[in-house]
Amino acid sequence: MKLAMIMGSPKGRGSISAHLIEEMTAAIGDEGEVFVFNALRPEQFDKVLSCDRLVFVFPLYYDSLPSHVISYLEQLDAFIKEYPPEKKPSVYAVCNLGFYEGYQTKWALGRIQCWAEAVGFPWKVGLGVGAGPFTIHLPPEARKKTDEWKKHFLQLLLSDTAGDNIYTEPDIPKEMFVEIANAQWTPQLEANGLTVDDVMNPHPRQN
Amino acid sequence: MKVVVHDLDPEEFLKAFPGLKNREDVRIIAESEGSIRNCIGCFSCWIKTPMQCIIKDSYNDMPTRFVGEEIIVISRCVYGGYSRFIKNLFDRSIGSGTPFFEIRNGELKHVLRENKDKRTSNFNVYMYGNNITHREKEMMTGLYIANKANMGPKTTGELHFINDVYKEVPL
Repeated sequence: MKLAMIMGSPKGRGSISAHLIEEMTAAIGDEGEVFVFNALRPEQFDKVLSCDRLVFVFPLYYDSLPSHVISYLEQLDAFIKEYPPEKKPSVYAVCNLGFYEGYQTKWALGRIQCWAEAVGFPWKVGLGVGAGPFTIHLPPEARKKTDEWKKHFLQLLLSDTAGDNIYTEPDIPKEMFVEIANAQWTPQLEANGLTVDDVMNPHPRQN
Repeated sequence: MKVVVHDLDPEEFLKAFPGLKNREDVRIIAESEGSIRNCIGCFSCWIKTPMQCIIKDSYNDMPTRFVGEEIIVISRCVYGGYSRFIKNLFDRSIGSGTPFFEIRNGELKHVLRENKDKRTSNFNVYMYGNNITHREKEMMTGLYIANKANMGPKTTGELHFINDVYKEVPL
């Protein structure tokens, strides 16, 4: 079985989407052959479409897909309509976001489902990973449920099974998460010579 | 300030709505200033140059330009959401908020700057297309409600699904 993982983060390094792809690839092991594509480079569509599964992995940007992923989807859509593939790969999606609640990815995952319907490919299931970028700052016990749901998603992916979207959140109270997440910005601001006040009362340059 | 954001041909749009030309109280944002580069997720507009995007193109002031008392967004409906250009403007404007979190109405949102930049109060969206499916409408409606919640609890406005921009958008 061949799986196409389409990386939807524009980041060159430190991408949670890239990390999730690595995690899934390691977990898939001998059960499938993974090919990774980058949505910033809309090419090799014939190779993408030779796979049995398409997995779009991307961060939530402003409640939805990053704009370059929309562009990628439109170009792949046009290619599919011009060169209809012999087989129709199943479509999955994984979206991570900084907010606590994985369900805030619902409208972004839904867009991948709309895309699958537009090109006539079977939509299977989406995974919305809450607190994605902050996972490394959380204690291991706060990641347990998320890890279990990731395994469940992989089972659905490998068995070509559909299901309701899965939304995860860390196993700590929301208020505690807010404190942990907000605290990690301070050293980054200080490294740039800024304070919280500079962020709250900025003086942007006008064009 | 009324901010009109659209993804149509800039010249055709102005021909269709000549009353919007040269108005001090109207700001039009279209892909008329060169092509727009995509957000690279660097967070500089939060933690290095607050409210200023570091990407060097004509759209790097979106955190201050894509705000006003009234925002009118006109977008082709693409897979249940905004088109590439319109979504890019949203992505490039995240610096209008802050990186910090708070819990609003039970869910996480970014902390807003109060009274700093005339927060949007009226946000109206017109999604155009001839074959918008039921699911696309459902997804876009959810997205619109989420956008409003992120823009602040006082944000009002409506979402419309239309066929013809030039006949149906009241400008």
